[in-house]
Amino acid sequence: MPTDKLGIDKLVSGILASNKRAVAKAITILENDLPGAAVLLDQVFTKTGNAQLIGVTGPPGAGKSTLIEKITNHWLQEGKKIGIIAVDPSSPFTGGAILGDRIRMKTISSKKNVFIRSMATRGALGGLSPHIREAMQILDAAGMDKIIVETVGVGQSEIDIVKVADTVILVTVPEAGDDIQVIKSGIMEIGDVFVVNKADRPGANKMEILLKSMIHSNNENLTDKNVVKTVASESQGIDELIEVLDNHYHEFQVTGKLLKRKKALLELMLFDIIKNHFANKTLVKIKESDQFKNLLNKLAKREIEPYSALTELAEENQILAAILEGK
Amino acid sequence: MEKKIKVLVAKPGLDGHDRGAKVVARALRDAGMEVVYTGLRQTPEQIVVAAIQEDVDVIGLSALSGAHLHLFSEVVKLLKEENADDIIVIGGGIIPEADQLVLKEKGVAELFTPGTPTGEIVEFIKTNIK
Amino acid sequence: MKDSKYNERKEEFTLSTGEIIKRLYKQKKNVEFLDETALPGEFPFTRGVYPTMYRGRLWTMRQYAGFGSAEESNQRYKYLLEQGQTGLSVAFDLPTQIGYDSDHSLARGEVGKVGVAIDSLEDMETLFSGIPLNKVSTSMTINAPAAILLAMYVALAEKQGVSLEELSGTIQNDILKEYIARGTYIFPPTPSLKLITDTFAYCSENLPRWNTISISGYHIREAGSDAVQELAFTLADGIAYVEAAEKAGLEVDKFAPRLSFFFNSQMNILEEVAKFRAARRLWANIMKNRFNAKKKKSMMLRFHTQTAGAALTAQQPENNIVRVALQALAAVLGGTQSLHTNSYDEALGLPTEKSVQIALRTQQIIAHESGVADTIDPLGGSYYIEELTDKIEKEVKNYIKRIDELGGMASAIEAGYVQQQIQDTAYQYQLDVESGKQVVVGVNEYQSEVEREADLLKVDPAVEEKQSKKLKRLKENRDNQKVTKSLQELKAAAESGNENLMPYILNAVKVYATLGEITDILRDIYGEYRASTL
Repeated sequence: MPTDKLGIDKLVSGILASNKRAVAKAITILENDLPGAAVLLDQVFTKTGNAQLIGVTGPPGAGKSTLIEKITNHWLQEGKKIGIIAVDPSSPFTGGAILGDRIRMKTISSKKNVFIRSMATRGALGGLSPHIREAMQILDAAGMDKIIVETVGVGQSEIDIVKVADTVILVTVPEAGDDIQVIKSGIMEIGDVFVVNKADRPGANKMEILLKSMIHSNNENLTDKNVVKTVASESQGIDELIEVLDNHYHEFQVTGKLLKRKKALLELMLFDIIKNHFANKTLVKIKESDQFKNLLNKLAKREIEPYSALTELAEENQILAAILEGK
Repeated sequence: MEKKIKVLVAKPGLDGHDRGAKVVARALRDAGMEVVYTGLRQTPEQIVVAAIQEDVDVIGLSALSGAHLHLFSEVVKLLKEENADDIIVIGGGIIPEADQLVLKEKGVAELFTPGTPTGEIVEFIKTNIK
Repeated sequence: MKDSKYNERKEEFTLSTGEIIKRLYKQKKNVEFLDETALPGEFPFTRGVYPTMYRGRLWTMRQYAGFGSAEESNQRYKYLLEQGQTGLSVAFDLPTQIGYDSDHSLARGEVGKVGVAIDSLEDMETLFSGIPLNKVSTSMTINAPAAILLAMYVALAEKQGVSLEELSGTIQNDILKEYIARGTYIFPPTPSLKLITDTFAYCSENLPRWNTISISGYHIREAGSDAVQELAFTLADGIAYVEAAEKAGLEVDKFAPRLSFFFNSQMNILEEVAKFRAARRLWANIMKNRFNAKKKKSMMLRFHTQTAGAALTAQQPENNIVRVALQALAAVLGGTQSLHTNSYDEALGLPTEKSVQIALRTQQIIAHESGVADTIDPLGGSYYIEELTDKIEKEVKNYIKRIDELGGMASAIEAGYVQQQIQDTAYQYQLDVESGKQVVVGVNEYQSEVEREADLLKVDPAVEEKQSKKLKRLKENRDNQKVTKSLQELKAAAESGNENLMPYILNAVKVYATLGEITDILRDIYGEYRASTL
């Protein structure tokens, strides 16, 4: 167990000193719900809240990783520290996963001020697991200026990205314009910046116009300026994209929208913690109690009704009772 | 919750034959592990950086170019320098017996030659990680 | 057909593609071989590209070899020629294949390992010392820097006083399969294709007997594809090269006769024979109908074959002698133009002189004792072979259609489609071996307890250091002003984008600019390819 080798206190001081091994070990503890996870999160929490959290999503093959590579290189030159979390889906059958995003970020993966971690979705119904957010907090505490989360635009993880990011970049390609279905419902509302990558291919202008028109009908906060054309592989459009990102973030800060967004993210986090705790600890405890088993037997013999069983359970469990009363 | 086993599969050096590495990566995934695949032409330094950031339990190296002696021992050496030698290193490829002995002496945990069933690799990993 | 009295030993019998094999094949109507025009040497060449085939001349026995330093490889070549080998096949080490000099940091541990290290014309002079280039045909397995190694060969010929019209041989020069299966790429696809069409254009003017490309399915099969995928992806690569050359303004009948192919020969003899026959028919039709080629030579698919490295087992290595013999037989029955037979110890390490000799003898026994070379296409007309040939042809066409829909081979590779197809097949094969569905003798059945370690060849570890010293000496002794000038001219030509680079590369190698120096100039301008798919 990592906790035996490195105590949490030592781990936390390592994280605050930007020690990569400590950061990596901490993420493992959180990702696997290992002993000490809660303490660890609490100990770093006051040191978080400084990084810009950026979500990048889009269909497979849109060039998300190359784009991330380029903007990361840009920020590195400004002396920034960048943390990247690349999310790939877990196999629903075996729980295993192949995490292949590192391959696509070769030019930055060994740089001093970059930390890349690959994570699997691990069930969570195809959505982002809460551990992604926890990993981001570790990177935040470790002094990263920008934290980028990349998810493949398949299933729920694409929409979920809004639950962990201040700024969401939606990456698409010109061909996507031929098939409007590619731009799924709901996706337009979550994006802050829209990138038409591989814009040297036919159809780029059409895609750009399409995105702009969809923005107008979906999100009053956005303007045409939030649509950028890039050819990431040739480094084209990267400066423009950075400018849009900076402007968007700046506008968010001065208008107070950022605070609102950050608070919303915290709300989600706290709610997740409560839910998680309640589901994993309290509910499991109730389910494993003798009383529960007795009641179940009675239910099977039709000697008791389900809601009466609930009332009986509440008599033995204060939390459950409090909740029932509160209703 | 049980900790998931995480493995880095890498091809050090210039060799481009990645059939074996990819088959092993899939087999480990199908055994429920999380596999970080880093692709071709990785230097030992890049491999160790990735292994540390990803906090893997195991590094699986594949080389068919005959450069295994230099490349595999370099990975083991760098892990020691980084104080990360709790990460188990295994290797695969065309590796003559004499070289296998040298590599094991240097700290490579096990070597798998052509014809090894992937199940054997899965078993080895499951029994040897703490 | 199920009859309990005649139980079969397997639920189903399958080909490499998973296709089910029938119990018995019977005569079918309209089988193409019955067509009077389908004679060897006639379109579509199903039965062979030449009218006399091996009755006229046997295939070229060409063993791929090279290791360590140029001196050591030169010794091995002379040995092979003395043993009756009829053509040379040069294996380069990985740094050479990826355009790094032996003293580059990424070359550490790799120098001289999978082939010979060539840094400059000086090494090339040593490699062919005592071997007149007009007396041998030389095949070079070189892709990304093929233009540079070809230039060195040309410069050497000039030094030996051999006229360029006399030079015969092949450069592999097939970059697309590097992205798919072999991994020794340098530049992105567009500039890589430009370098390839530059060599096409240069050779069509200067080296009339040189095969400018060897479009290779070998490595695609080694990466785990089945027979149909091997053929489909290779021919699709071929289509991409022809299209690139036409786009560069070359006339199809000028360069197409110098295109050659390279296939794998795997264990299922009859499937392989049908594959080779289908390959000829498919390519002839592609050249005639898709590209409107007029010359017969443009439509002829000539190919080299190598037995399957992936079929060699580390367990009971002597069994590999038999495997290689069967695969070689398939290649000959399939009408190959040249053949490399693997040595039985290659799953363990580099082959020894003795194991190489057995491999070569295997070919000689097939040629002179087996009788299969005494008539043309001896299996033609077999119900099974003919039906299989038709079937493979049809399935390959389906794949090519799919690739066309994806926008051609370059797009299909970029999207990862081709790689994914191969990986799926490779993984399925592995599962079949592990479940016992596919028996591999000595591996998952008929294992022996005692394994004997074979004698292995060791590459002298001092090669790396020697090679680095040699480079240092070379750089001190050559005329560095001339080198700089030639490299600057190359740079300017490459930047202009529309000049054929061959003459500039030739100038640079002649003044002993190194492989790494030349490649670096191009790397700066073209950038490097990075694999993005899993």
